[in-house]
Amino acid sequence: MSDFDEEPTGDEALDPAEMLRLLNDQQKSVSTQFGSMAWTVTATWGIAWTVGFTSVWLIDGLKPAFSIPEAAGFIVLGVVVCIAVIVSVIMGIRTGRGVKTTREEAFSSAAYGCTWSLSMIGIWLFGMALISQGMSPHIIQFYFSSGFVLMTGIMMAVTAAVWKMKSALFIGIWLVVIAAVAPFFGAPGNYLFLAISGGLVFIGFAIAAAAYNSGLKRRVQGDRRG
Amino acid sequence: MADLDPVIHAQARLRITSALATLGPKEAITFPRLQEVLGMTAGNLSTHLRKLETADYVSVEKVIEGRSPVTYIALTTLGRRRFEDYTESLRSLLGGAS
Repeated sequence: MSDFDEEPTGDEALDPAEMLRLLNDQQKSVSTQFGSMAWTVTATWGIAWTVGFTSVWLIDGLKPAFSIPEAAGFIVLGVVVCIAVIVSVIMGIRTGRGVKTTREEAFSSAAYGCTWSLSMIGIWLFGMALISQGMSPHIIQFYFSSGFVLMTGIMMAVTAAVWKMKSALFIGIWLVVIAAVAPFFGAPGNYLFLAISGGLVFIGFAIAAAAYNSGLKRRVQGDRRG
Repeated sequence: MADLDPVIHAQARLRITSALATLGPKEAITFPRLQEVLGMTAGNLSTHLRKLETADYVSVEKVIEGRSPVTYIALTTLGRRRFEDYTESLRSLLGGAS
């Protein structure tokens, strides 16, 4: 710490009710800034799923009026999901920066990070095993899309448990439900359903979270000096 | 208002202790990160941290990481207890509001 030629501010107190509100707002603001479910990650996944699942839906969804090549649709989905994974990892690392933690906490974070990859690889390997045992191309369309969304939902619930975030639990429940319901829309309707109920809902949640967080930050910093 | 700890009962210091209390008992945060999280100027944060440090509510640890000096800030056990007492006093003053 170094000295600065500056008049200190924020030395005065507000009335008790305002002070309690300031205390609660400040803690919420810090939690949202440290939370691994930053709104940017949510927005990234929202965009990835909207673009990715819509691309796959466009392979057959608007035929004969419009169609994109099958390979192109799946490549777009693969690329946007890879980008979302990279952004999530970078944001996860960045949120913990500047905090010296205990070995136990560091282990929890590392185990949590590994569980994401482990669960996704597990779904993929299980799918490959089922394909080797004759899973039909029709069922494959439901398995991989719903499987990954289902696993993301479960991981969100784990996020809620690890970071004590209610919002992550609600998102997790929502994702588990839409993953389970998606096959009822048939193929390729399931992709469009997931693009809207998963992707667009995530984007909407991210916008609402960003607005809430910036309002919270303004409130604790704004008219209160310091 | 006599029961409210005067060291914490100031907007800037309440914000600092509230933020530090969200960390675990054995965790600490660097000065620049705390400044970023709180959106306070370095000078103002330094001034209020010094008051909290003088009261033994926060610990300021300077270490060398790589080749750079890093300052870690944390609530002391006393600071955490005083913050909890302060929160409790505020709530009872307001009739048990959360």
